[in-house]
Amino acid sequence: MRAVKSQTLYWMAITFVLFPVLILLGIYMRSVQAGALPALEGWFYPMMTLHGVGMVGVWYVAAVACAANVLAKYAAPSPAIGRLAIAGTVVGVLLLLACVFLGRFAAGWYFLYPLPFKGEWPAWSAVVFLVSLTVLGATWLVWSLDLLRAIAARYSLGQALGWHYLAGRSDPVLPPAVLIITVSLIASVAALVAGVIMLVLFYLELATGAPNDALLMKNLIFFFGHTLVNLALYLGVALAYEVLPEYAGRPWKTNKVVVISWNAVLAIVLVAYFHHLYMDVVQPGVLLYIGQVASYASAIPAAVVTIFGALLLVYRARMRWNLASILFFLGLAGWAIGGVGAVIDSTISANVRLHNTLWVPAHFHTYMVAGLVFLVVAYFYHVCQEAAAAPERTGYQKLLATLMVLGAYGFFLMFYLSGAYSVPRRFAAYPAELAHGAIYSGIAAAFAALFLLGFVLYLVETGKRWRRALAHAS
Amino acid sequence: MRPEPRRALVALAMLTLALAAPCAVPAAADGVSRAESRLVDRAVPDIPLRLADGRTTRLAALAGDRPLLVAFFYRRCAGVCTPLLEWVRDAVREVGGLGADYRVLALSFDDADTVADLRAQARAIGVLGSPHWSFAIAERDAVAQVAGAVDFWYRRDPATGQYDHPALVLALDRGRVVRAMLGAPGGSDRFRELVWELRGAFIPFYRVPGQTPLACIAFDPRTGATRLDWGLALLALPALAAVGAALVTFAGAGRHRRAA
Amino acid sequence: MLRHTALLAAAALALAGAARADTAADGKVLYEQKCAACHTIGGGDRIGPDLHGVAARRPEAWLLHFITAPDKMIAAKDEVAVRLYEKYNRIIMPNLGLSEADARAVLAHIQAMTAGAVPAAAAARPSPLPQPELAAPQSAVLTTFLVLAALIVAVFGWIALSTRSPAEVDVKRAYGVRKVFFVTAAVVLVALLVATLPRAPYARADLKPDRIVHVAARQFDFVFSDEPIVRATDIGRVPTIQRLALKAGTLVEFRVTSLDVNHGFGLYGPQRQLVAQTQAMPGYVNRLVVRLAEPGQYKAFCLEYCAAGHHLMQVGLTVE
Repeated sequence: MRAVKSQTLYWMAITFVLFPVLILLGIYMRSVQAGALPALEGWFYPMMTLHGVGMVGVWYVAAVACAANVLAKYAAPSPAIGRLAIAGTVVGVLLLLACVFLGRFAAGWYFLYPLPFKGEWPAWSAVVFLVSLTVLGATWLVWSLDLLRAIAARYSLGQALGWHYLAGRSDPVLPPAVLIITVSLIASVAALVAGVIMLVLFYLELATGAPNDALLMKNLIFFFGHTLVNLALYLGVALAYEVLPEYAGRPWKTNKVVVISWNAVLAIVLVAYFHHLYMDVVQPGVLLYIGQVASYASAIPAAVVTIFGALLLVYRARMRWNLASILFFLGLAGWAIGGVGAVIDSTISANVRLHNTLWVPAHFHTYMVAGLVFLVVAYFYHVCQEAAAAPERTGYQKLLATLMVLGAYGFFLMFYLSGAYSVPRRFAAYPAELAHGAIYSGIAAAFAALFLLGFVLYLVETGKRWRRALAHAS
Repeated sequence: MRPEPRRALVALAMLTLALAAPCAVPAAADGVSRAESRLVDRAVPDIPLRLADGRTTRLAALAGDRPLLVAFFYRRCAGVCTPLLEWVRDAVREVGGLGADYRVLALSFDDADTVADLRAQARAIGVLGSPHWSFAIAERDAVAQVAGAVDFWYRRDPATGQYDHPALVLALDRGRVVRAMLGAPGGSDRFRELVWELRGAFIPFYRVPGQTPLACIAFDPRTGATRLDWGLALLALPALAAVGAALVTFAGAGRHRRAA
Repeated sequence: MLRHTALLAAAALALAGAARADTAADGKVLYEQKCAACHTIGGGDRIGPDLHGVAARRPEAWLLHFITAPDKMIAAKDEVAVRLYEKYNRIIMPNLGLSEADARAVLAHIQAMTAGAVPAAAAARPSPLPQPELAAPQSAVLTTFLVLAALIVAVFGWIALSTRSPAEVDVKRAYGVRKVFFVTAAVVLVALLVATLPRAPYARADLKPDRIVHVAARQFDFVFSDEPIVRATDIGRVPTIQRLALKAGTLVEFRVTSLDVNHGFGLYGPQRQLVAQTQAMPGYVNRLVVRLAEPGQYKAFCLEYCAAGHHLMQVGLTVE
C-alpha cells in the first residue's frame, strides 16, 4: 500500500517532467507549420513521432498508475511489479529518445507498416524503435496482468464485472472505479497482445525478409494504438467515479445500469477501432459498418450513464470546489465535447471528408487533453493535497484552470476549423492551396503556449504538495 | 527485385504450375494482365453475324441488354481453341447465371468456316442446342474490324493451314469491353471472377499477385464471395487472449480466495 | 498432354510481347523509376533539385559518383552533397542501386530532356491562395459540432452554477429524466445510423464508371495511367498520363495502389476541400468511384504520412 503510494508519486514526477517537454514539441510543430521556424523544419517529422508516441505513452502509464493507486485501497498490487513498470518505462523512453534524436526515426506514432523500413532514417533506428515498443509493451502487459491479479485476490471475475448487481445483489460492494478498471485492464491485455503480434510480424520480416500483409498490419496497429488510447480515457473516468463523490458529499455507487454499460464497453472497445480503416475499401465492408455502429454505441454508456451520472452527482450538491474538483468536472466536459467530434468523425459518410485532416487531432486532443489530462492531473493534485493538507488559494487555482481551459480550447478550435477546411494533418508545411492552414497553426501555437503557462502554474501549486507527500511517504 | 529478362520465364513457370494444379493461385503474369486491362472500355463494332442455325443477326442484337462473353476460335484449330471453349463451358456451368445474367458467343475468325462447322464445334463441346450459346461466322472484313478493335491477331501458316493466334475471351457490355482475358485458360479463377462480375457481383479490390501468405481477405471465385483469410483470424486472437488471461488470472486467484 | 503443350505454346506466344518490352531498360525508364518521384527536368524543385542542365552545373565524375552512391558521399562529407542535403530539408537521397552504366544512361536522358525543356525559374514557390468558402458538407459537419459543443458547455455551466444553491435531489425523478435522455439519445443515434450508413462512399456494382484511371502512389508522387501500375518496375514501361483531363460530370473510377508504403489519395475539388479520398496500400488496389461534377482544377494530396516528402506529394487534374 505504502509502496504503491510512493510509486504513484514517482509516476507523477515522470509525467510532470515529460508532459511540458512534449507540449513544447507540439508548439514547435505548430510553429513550423506556421512558417516561423524554417531552419528547424527538417526535424518536424521526428519530433511529430516523439510527440505522438510520448503523449500516448505518458498518459497511458499515468492513467494506469492512478488506477493502481485507486486499487491499493481495495486490493494489493505487487510493489515489485510496480517497480518493474517504472524501470521498463524509463528504459523504453530512453530507447525511444535514442532512435528519434540519434537516428531521426520518424514513422509517426502509429508507424504504419512498411513505413518503418522505408524511410530516410537508418535501419538501426527502426530496430531500436521496435525494441523500445517491445520493452514498453511487455512491461505494461505484465503490469496490467498484475493489477488484474490484485483485483482477483478480492473479487471473482463475475463480481469484478458486477454481474451480481444484475441479479439484484450488491454484496460484495463493488466500487464503480474497480469495475471500470477491470474492464479497462482486460481491454488493455487485448490491445497489448495485438501489439505483441504486430511486433512479432515486424521481427519475422526483419529475420526472414518475407513481406507482411499491409492490411493485416494496419488492423493490428490500430487495434493496439486505438484501444490503448481509448481505455486510458476510461481509466481517467474511473478516477472521477472514485474521487468526485468526496467533493460532492454524495455517493456515486454501482448499480445495474452502470454494470450493463461498462460490460457493454468491454465488447464495444474491441471493435470500435475499425473506424480507422474506413478509407481502406479493401477491408470487408461488414467490418467498416461494425466500426460505425460500435463507435455510435460507445456514446450511450459514456453520455447517458457516466456523464449523466456525474452531472446528477454535482447538481445542487454542497460542492467543495478546488483545483481537483474543478479539473474533474472540466475533464468530464472535455470528454463529452471530444466525444461529439469523435462520433461525427466515425460517421463513414462524414469521414470521407475528415479522415486524416486536422479534424482527427482536433477531436483526440479534446478528449485527451481536456479529458484525460484534466482527469489525471485532478487526481494527482487530489492525492498530493490529501497527503500535504496545505491551505488552498482558490483564486490562484481558478486562474490556472482558466488559463488551461482557454489555452486548450483555443488550440482545439484551430484544429477543428482547419479540419473543416480539409487541411491535412501531419504536413510539415502547407501547399499554396491550403495556405490558410499556416494561419491557424500560428494562432494554435499561441494558445498552446497559454495552456503550457497554465500547466506550469499548476506544477507550482501541485509541486509543493508533491514534495510534502513524498516526505510523508518515505 | 528479380532480374527483368527472367520474368517471362518465371511467368511461364507459374502458368505451368497453374495448369498442373488447377486450384493453385491464378497465374496473373504482369504482362498479360496489363495487356488485358488495355482493352477495357474499348468499343467493339456492331458487325453482322451468321449463326449456326443459319440465321443472321448483329452483334448488338445478339447481346441484347445483357453482357456477352465472346471467345474467338476456328474449327480446324489443333491447338488452344477447343480447350478454351471447353474451359469457358466448365467455368460458366460452375458459376451459373448463364442466360439470366449473360450469354456466350464463340466467334470464328477463319473465313473458311461454314455454318456446318459451327454446329460441329458446338456438338464437339456438348452445347449444341443450348439457347444461351451462340456460334457465329462473319465476313472477313467484319471479323477484322472486331479483331482490330481489341488487338486480337491471327496469321495463317501456309505450310500447315493452321493459324497463329492468342487465346482471348472478352466480356462485352453495351458494346464495350468490360473485361478481357488473354492467354491460355490457366488462370481459371480469374475467369470465374470475370463471370461473377458479369453476374452483378462487385469485387471491391484486387490483390496484387506475389504478395504475402498471411493475408486478411481473399476473393473466392468459386463461391463469388469475399472470404476471410487466416490473417483476419489473427485479429480475433488478442480478444481471445484477453478473455483467456482474465479467466486464468481470476481462476488462479479464486483458489486462494476460497482458501482464505 | 498434347493439349497442354499446345496451351503452353499459346501462352508463350502471348507472353512474348511482354518479355520484349521488359528487357529494354534505358535511361528514360530508369529515370522514371528511380528519379521522377523526387526530381523534375525543368519543372522546378520538388523533394530534390530540378535536374534541368545539371550536367553543366557539376562535373560528370561527381554526378556519376553521386547517382551511384549518394549515401557514401554524404557520409564522407562531400562539400556539395552536404550543401544539397542541408538545402533540401535534410532529406537524404537514398542509394538507388544504380550501376555506373545506369547512371550514364540516366544522365544522357536528363541531357536530352534538358535540350527540349525550358527551365521553370519563375515557378518557384506558388503564392499562397486566400481561404476558400467552406463547402456545404464541411460546413454541416462544423456547425453540428459547434452547436452540440455549445449545448454541452451550457449544460455543464448550468450544473456548476446550481451548486450555489445546494438542495437534496430526488433520485427517482432524476432516473426518470435519465430514461428519457437514454431513449432520446438512442433514437437519435439509430436514426443517424440509418440515415448515414447507406451514404457510405463505397463503390458499388451498379455504378458503371465512364472512365477508369489507375493511380500508383509512391514516395513522393502519384502516377496516373490507363493501365495498371502495380510494381515499381512497371513505371517507365506503362505509358502514364501526364496531364489528366476529364469532362465535367464524368463518373470516374480511380483504382489506387501504392508501390511502397501506405499513402492517402485525397482528392481536393476546385474549392480546395476534400471531395473524396481513399487509402493507397501496397499489395491492394482500392476502388474509388466519384462523379466529378464541378469543372475546375482538382488536386490530390497524400493524406497518409509517408516520410519526409509527405507534404510535397501531390498531383493535379483538370475537369472541363
